Amino acid sequence: MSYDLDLSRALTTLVASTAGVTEVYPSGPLGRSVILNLINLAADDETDDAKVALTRDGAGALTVTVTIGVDAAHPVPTTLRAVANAIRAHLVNLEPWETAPIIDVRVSHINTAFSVSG
Amino acid sequence: MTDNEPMLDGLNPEDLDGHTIEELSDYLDAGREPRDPSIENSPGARIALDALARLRNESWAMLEIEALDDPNRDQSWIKNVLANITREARAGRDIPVSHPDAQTVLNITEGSVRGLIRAAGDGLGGAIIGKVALDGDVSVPGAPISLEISASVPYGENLVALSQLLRDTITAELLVHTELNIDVVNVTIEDLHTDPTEETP
Repeated sequence: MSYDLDLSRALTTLVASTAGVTEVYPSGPLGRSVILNLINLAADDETDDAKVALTRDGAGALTVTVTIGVDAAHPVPTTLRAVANAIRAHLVNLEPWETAPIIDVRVSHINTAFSVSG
Repeated sequence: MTDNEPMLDGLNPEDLDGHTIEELSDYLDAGREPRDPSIENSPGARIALDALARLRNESWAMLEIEALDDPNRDQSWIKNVLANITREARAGRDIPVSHPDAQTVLNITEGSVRGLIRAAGDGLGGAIIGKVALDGDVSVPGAPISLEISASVPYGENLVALSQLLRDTITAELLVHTELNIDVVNVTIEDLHTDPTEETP
Protein backbone atom coordinates (compact mmCIF):
# COMPACT_ATOMS: atom_id res chain seq x y z
CA MET A 1 0.00 0.00 0.00
CA SER A 2 1.22 3.47 -0.77
CA TYR A 3 3.12 5.67 1.61
CA ASP A 4 0.56 8.46 1.31
CA LEU A 5 -2.36 6.18 2.10
CA ASP A 6 -0.62 4.84 5.18
CA LEU A 7 0.29 8.38 6.23
CA SER A 8 -3.30 9.53 5.76
CA ARG A 9 -4.52 6.66 7.92
CA ALA A 10 -2.01 7.46 10.63
CA LEU A 11 -2.94 11.14 10.61
CA THR A 12 -6.67 10.35 10.62
CA THR A 13 -6.21 8.24 13.74
CA LEU A 14 -4.05 10.94 15.32
CA VAL A 15 -6.58 13.70 14.62
CA ALA A 16 -9.53 11.61 15.80
CA SER A 17 -7.79 11.05 19.14
CA THR A 18 -7.15 14.75 19.76
CA ALA A 19 -9.15 16.25 22.64
CA GLY A 20 -12.20 18.12 21.37
CA VAL A 21 -12.41 16.36 18.01
CA THR A 22 -15.72 14.55 17.48
CA GLU A 23 -15.40 13.64 13.81
CA VAL A 24 -12.87 13.55 11.01
CA TYR A 25 -14.62 14.25 7.73
CA PRO A 26 -13.23 13.19 4.37
CA SER A 27 -11.24 16.11 2.97
CA GLY A 28 -11.11 16.95 -0.69
CA PRO A 29 -7.76 17.27 -2.42
CA LEU A 30 -6.24 20.67 -2.98
CA GLY A 31 -4.81 21.70 -6.33
CA ARG A 32 -4.04 19.42 -9.20
CA SER A 33 -1.51 17.04 -7.68
CA VAL A 34 -4.00 14.53 -6.44
CA ILE A 35 -2.61 11.66 -4.47
CA LEU A 36 -5.11 10.31 -2.06
CA ASN A 37 -8.16 11.05 -4.14
CA LEU A 38 -6.98 8.80 -6.96
CA ILE A 39 -6.25 6.04 -4.50
CA ASN A 40 -9.72 6.43 -3.05
CA LEU A 41 -11.26 5.99 -6.48
CA ALA A 42 -9.25 2.86 -7.13
CA ALA A 43 -9.75 1.18 -3.77
CA ASP A 44 -12.51 2.91 -1.88
CA ASP A 45 -13.16 -0.02 0.44
CA GLU A 46 -9.61 0.24 1.75
CA THR A 47 -9.60 3.98 2.41
CA ASP A 48 -12.50 4.54 4.79
CA ASP A 49 -10.06 5.20 7.57
CA ALA A 50 -7.92 7.55 5.45
CA LYS A 51 -9.80 10.83 5.64
CA VAL A 52 -6.91 13.27 5.75
CA ALA A 53 -6.08 14.58 2.29
CA LEU A 54 -2.45 14.69 1.21
CA THR A 55 -1.44 16.65 -1.85
CA ARG A 56 1.89 17.63 -3.29
CA ASP A 57 3.05 20.43 -5.52
CA GLY A 58 5.38 19.93 -8.46
CA ALA A 59 8.41 19.83 -6.18
CA GLY A 60 6.80 17.23 -3.93
CA ALA A 61 6.09 19.58 -1.03
CA LEU A 62 3.28 18.23 1.10
CA THR A 63 0.01 19.87 2.06
CA VAL A 64 -2.05 18.12 4.73
CA THR A 65 -5.75 19.02 4.67
CA VAL A 66 -8.02 18.04 7.53
CA THR A 67 -11.72 18.69 8.01
CA ILE A 68 -13.11 18.06 11.48
CA GLY A 69 -16.14 18.31 13.69
CA VAL A 70 -15.47 19.53 17.22
CA ASP A 71 -17.12 19.47 20.62
CA ALA A 72 -18.44 22.85 21.78
CA ALA A 73 -17.31 21.94 25.30
CA HIS A 74 -13.78 22.80 24.14
CA PRO A 75 -12.84 26.21 22.72
CA VAL A 76 -12.62 25.72 18.97
CA PRO A 77 -9.30 27.60 18.50
CA THR A 78 -7.70 25.39 21.16
CA THR A 79 -8.85 22.25 19.38
CA LEU A 80 -7.74 23.57 15.99
CA ARG A 81 -4.25 24.38 17.26
CA ALA A 82 -3.99 21.06 19.08
CA VAL A 83 -4.79 19.19 15.86
CA ALA A 84 -2.32 21.20 13.80
CA ASN A 85 0.41 20.85 16.43
CA ALA A 86 -0.15 17.10 16.70
CA ILE A 87 0.16 16.70 12.93
CA ARG A 88 3.29 18.87 12.85
CA ALA A 89 4.88 16.88 15.66
CA HIS A 90 4.06 13.59 13.92
CA LEU A 91 5.64 14.76 10.68
CA VAL A 92 8.72 16.18 12.35
CA ASN A 93 9.30 13.07 14.47
CA LEU A 94 8.25 10.29 12.12
CA GLU A 95 8.39 11.70 8.61
CA PRO A 96 11.35 14.12 8.80
CA TRP A 97 11.84 14.07 5.03
CA GLU A 98 8.58 15.99 4.65
CA THR A 99 10.17 19.43 4.69
CA ALA A 100 8.00 22.42 5.63
CA PRO A 101 4.63 20.83 5.01
CA ILE A 102 1.58 23.07 4.95
CA ILE A 103 -1.04 22.01 7.47
CA ASP A 104 -4.58 23.16 6.73
CA VAL A 105 -7.22 22.35 9.34
CA ARG A 106 -10.86 23.36 8.97
CA VAL A 107 -13.71 23.03 11.46
CA SER A 108 -16.90 22.30 9.53
CA HIS A 109 -19.21 21.37 12.39
CA ILE A 110 -19.31 22.50 16.00
CA ASN A 111 -21.09 19.74 17.83
CA THR A 112 -23.49 21.53 20.13
CA ALA A 113 -25.23 18.27 21.02
CA PHE A 114 -22.36 17.70 23.42
CA SER A 115 -22.36 21.07 25.16
CA VAL A 116 -22.62 24.79 24.65
CA SER A 117 -20.45 26.69 27.09
CA GLY A 118 -21.75 29.34 29.43
CA MET B 1 -47.91 12.26 5.30
CA THR B 2 -47.81 14.00 8.67
CA ASP B 3 -49.18 17.44 9.39
CA ASN B 4 -45.63 18.79 9.47
CA GLU B 5 -44.51 17.54 6.09
CA PRO B 6 -45.84 20.46 4.03
CA MET B 7 -43.50 22.67 6.04
CA LEU B 8 -40.55 20.77 4.64
CA ASP B 9 -41.34 21.09 0.94
CA GLY B 10 -39.31 23.13 -1.49
CA LEU B 11 -36.03 23.44 0.39
CA ASN B 12 -32.81 23.18 -1.56
CA PRO B 13 -31.02 19.82 -1.18
CA GLU B 14 -27.84 21.28 -2.70
CA ASP B 15 -27.18 23.00 0.63
CA LEU B 16 -27.23 19.68 2.50
CA ASP B 17 -24.87 17.63 0.34
CA GLY B 18 -27.70 16.22 -1.72
CA HIS B 19 -30.12 15.54 1.11
CA THR B 20 -33.39 17.32 1.67
CA ILE B 21 -34.43 18.58 5.07
CA GLU B 22 -37.36 16.19 4.81
CA GLU B 23 -34.92 13.26 4.51
CA LEU B 24 -33.05 14.54 7.52
CA SER B 25 -36.30 14.86 9.43
CA ASP B 26 -37.19 11.24 8.61
CA TYR B 27 -33.70 10.15 9.61
CA LEU B 28 -34.12 11.90 12.94
CA ASP B 29 -37.52 10.22 13.38
CA ALA B 30 -35.80 6.85 12.92
CA GLY B 31 -33.35 7.64 15.71
CA ARG B 32 -30.53 8.05 13.15
CA GLU B 33 -30.71 4.29 12.54
CA PRO B 34 -29.58 2.59 10.42
CA ARG B 35 -26.57 4.86 10.26
CA ASP B 36 -26.39 6.72 6.95
CA PRO B 37 -22.77 7.63 6.17
CA SER B 38 -23.81 10.12 3.48
CA ILE B 39 -25.59 12.11 6.20
CA GLU B 40 -23.22 11.49 9.09
CA ASN B 41 -20.18 12.36 6.93
CA SER B 42 -21.73 15.63 5.76
CA PRO B 43 -20.96 18.60 8.03
CA GLY B 44 -23.85 20.54 6.52
CA ALA B 45 -26.30 17.74 7.14
CA ARG B 46 -25.00 17.39 10.70
CA ILE B 47 -25.49 21.11 11.38
CA ALA B 48 -29.05 20.88 10.07
CA LEU B 49 -29.71 17.73 12.11
CA ASP B 50 -28.60 19.53 15.29
CA ALA B 51 -30.95 22.43 14.56
CA LEU B 52 -33.85 20.14 13.66
CA ALA B 53 -33.42 18.15 16.86
CA ARG B 54 -33.47 21.32 18.98
CA LEU B 55 -36.46 22.67 17.13
CA ARG B 56 -38.40 19.52 17.88
CA ASN B 57 -37.36 19.30 21.48
CA GLU B 58 -38.11 22.88 22.33
CA SER B 59 -40.81 24.10 20.05
CA TRP B 60 -42.57 21.31 18.19
CA ALA B 61 -45.26 21.15 20.89
CA MET B 62 -45.79 24.89 20.61
CA LEU B 63 -46.01 24.72 16.83
CA GLU B 64 -48.54 21.92 16.92
CA ILE B 65 -50.71 23.83 19.40
CA GLU B 66 -50.59 27.05 17.43
CA ALA B 67 -51.07 25.33 14.08
CA LEU B 68 -54.47 24.21 15.33
CA ASP B 69 -55.53 27.86 15.62
CA ASP B 70 -53.81 29.34 12.59
CA PRO B 71 -52.17 26.71 10.35
CA ASN B 72 -51.19 29.08 7.55
CA ARG B 73 -49.32 31.51 9.77
CA ASP B 74 -47.40 28.90 11.71
CA GLN B 75 -46.56 26.66 8.78
CA SER B 76 -45.26 29.70 6.95
CA TRP B 77 -43.14 30.78 9.88
CA ILE B 78 -41.63 27.38 10.58
CA LYS B 79 -41.07 26.78 6.87
CA ASN B 80 -39.00 29.95 6.85
CA VAL B 81 -37.02 28.69 9.84
CA LEU B 82 -36.37 25.35 8.12
CA ALA B 83 -35.34 27.13 4.92
CA ASN B 84 -32.94 29.26 6.96
CA ILE B 85 -31.50 26.19 8.68
CA THR B 86 -30.90 24.65 5.25
CA ARG B 87 -29.22 27.77 3.87
CA GLU B 88 -27.18 28.42 6.98
CA ALA B 89 -25.82 24.85 7.05
CA ARG B 90 -23.79 25.59 3.92
CA ALA B 91 -20.08 25.86 4.65
CA GLY B 92 -19.95 29.46 3.43
CA ARG B 93 -16.85 31.54 4.00
CA ASP B 94 -13.74 30.52 5.92
CA ILE B 95 -13.22 32.29 9.23
CA PRO B 96 -9.51 32.27 10.12
CA VAL B 97 -8.03 31.31 13.48
CA SER B 98 -4.52 32.51 14.18
CA HIS B 99 -1.46 30.29 14.55
CA PRO B 100 2.15 31.46 15.03
CA ASP B 101 3.41 29.15 12.28
CA ALA B 102 2.89 30.64 8.82
CA GLN B 103 2.80 27.11 7.36
CA THR B 104 -0.29 26.31 9.40
CA VAL B 105 -3.71 27.42 8.16
CA LEU B 106 -6.66 27.18 10.54
CA ASN B 107 -10.25 28.02 9.66
CA ILE B 108 -13.78 27.61 10.95
CA THR B 109 -16.51 27.50 8.34
CA GLU B 110 -19.16 30.19 8.47
CA GLY B 111 -21.81 27.46 8.44
CA SER B 112 -20.48 25.90 11.63
CA VAL B 113 -20.43 29.31 13.33
CA ARG B 114 -24.01 30.00 12.26
CA GLY B 115 -24.92 26.62 13.75
CA LEU B 116 -23.18 27.56 16.99
CA ILE B 117 -25.06 30.86 17.17
CA ARG B 118 -28.37 29.14 16.52
CA ALA B 119 -27.61 26.57 19.23
CA ALA B 120 -26.73 29.32 21.72
CA GLY B 121 -29.98 31.16 21.09
CA ASP B 122 -32.50 28.34 20.63
CA GLY B 123 -34.39 27.71 23.83
CA LEU B 124 -32.94 30.73 25.64
CA GLY B 125 -35.92 32.13 27.55
CA GLY B 126 -38.10 30.06 25.21
CA ALA B 127 -36.72 31.77 22.09
CA ILE B 128 -36.61 30.10 18.70
CA ILE B 129 -33.98 31.51 16.36
CA GLY B 130 -35.36 32.38 12.94
CA LYS B 131 -32.36 33.60 10.99
CA VAL B 132 -28.62 34.09 11.57
CA ALA B 133 -26.41 36.24 9.37
CA LEU B 134 -22.83 37.46 9.73
CA ASP B 135 -22.29 40.77 7.96
CA GLY B 136 -18.76 41.95 7.25
CA ASP B 137 -15.60 40.37 5.88
CA VAL B 138 -15.27 37.38 8.20
CA SER B 139 -12.25 36.15 6.24
CA VAL B 140 -10.16 39.16 7.32
CA PRO B 141 -8.83 38.92 10.90
CA GLY B 142 -10.05 41.80 13.04
CA ALA B 143 -12.58 43.11 10.56
CA PRO B 144 -15.69 44.43 12.33
CA ILE B 145 -18.55 41.97 12.06
CA SER B 146 -22.20 42.60 12.75
CA LEU B 147 -24.61 39.82 13.56
CA GLU B 148 -28.19 39.90 12.46
CA ILE B 149 -30.38 37.54 14.49
CA SER B 150 -34.13 37.13 14.26
CA ALA B 151 -36.20 35.20 16.76
CA SER B 152 -39.62 34.26 17.95
CA VAL B 153 -40.11 34.52 21.70
CA PRO B 154 -42.83 33.44 24.10
CA TYR B 155 -45.76 35.80 24.52
CA GLY B 156 -45.45 37.76 27.77
CA GLU B 157 -41.64 37.80 27.92
CA ASN B 158 -39.80 41.07 28.53
CA LEU B 159 -38.59 41.64 24.99
CA VAL B 160 -35.83 44.09 25.92
CA ALA B 161 -34.40 41.79 28.59
CA LEU B 162 -34.65 38.68 26.42
CA SER B 163 -33.03 40.45 23.46
CA GLN B 164 -30.15 41.50 25.71
CA LEU B 165 -29.82 37.94 27.04
CA LEU B 166 -29.62 36.65 23.46
CA ARG B 167 -26.99 39.27 22.59
CA ASP B 168 -24.89 38.53 25.67
CA THR B 169 -25.07 34.74 25.34
CA ILE B 170 -24.28 34.67 21.65
CA THR B 171 -21.43 37.18 22.02
CA ALA B 172 -19.95 35.09 24.85
CA GLU B 173 -20.09 31.94 22.72
CA LEU B 174 -18.36 33.67 19.82
CA LEU B 175 -15.64 35.01 22.11
CA VAL B 176 -14.89 31.46 23.30
CA HIS B 177 -15.01 29.74 19.93
CA THR B 178 -13.85 32.29 17.34
CA GLU B 179 -11.52 35.26 16.91
CA LEU B 180 -14.22 37.35 15.26
CA ASN B 181 -14.35 41.04 16.12
CA ILE B 182 -18.06 41.33 16.91
CA ASP B 183 -19.01 44.95 16.49
CA VAL B 184 -22.74 44.68 17.10
CA VAL B 185 -25.40 42.02 17.58
CA ASN B 186 -28.76 43.11 16.24
CA VAL B 187 -31.66 41.02 17.54
CA THR B 188 -35.02 41.37 15.85
CA ILE B 189 -38.01 39.80 17.57
CA GLU B 190 -40.16 39.03 14.59
CA ASP B 191 -42.79 36.78 16.12
CA LEU B 192 -44.41 35.76 19.38
CA HIS B 193 -45.47 32.26 20.27
CA THR B 194 -47.07 30.28 23.06
CA ASP B 195 -44.66 28.99 25.68
CA PRO B 196 -44.82 25.21 25.29
CA THR B 197 -43.97 24.77 28.96
CA GLU B 198 -47.17 26.52 30.01
CA GLU B 199 -50.47 24.71 30.06
CA THR B 200 -52.98 25.80 27.47
CA PRO B 201 -56.50 26.64 28.67
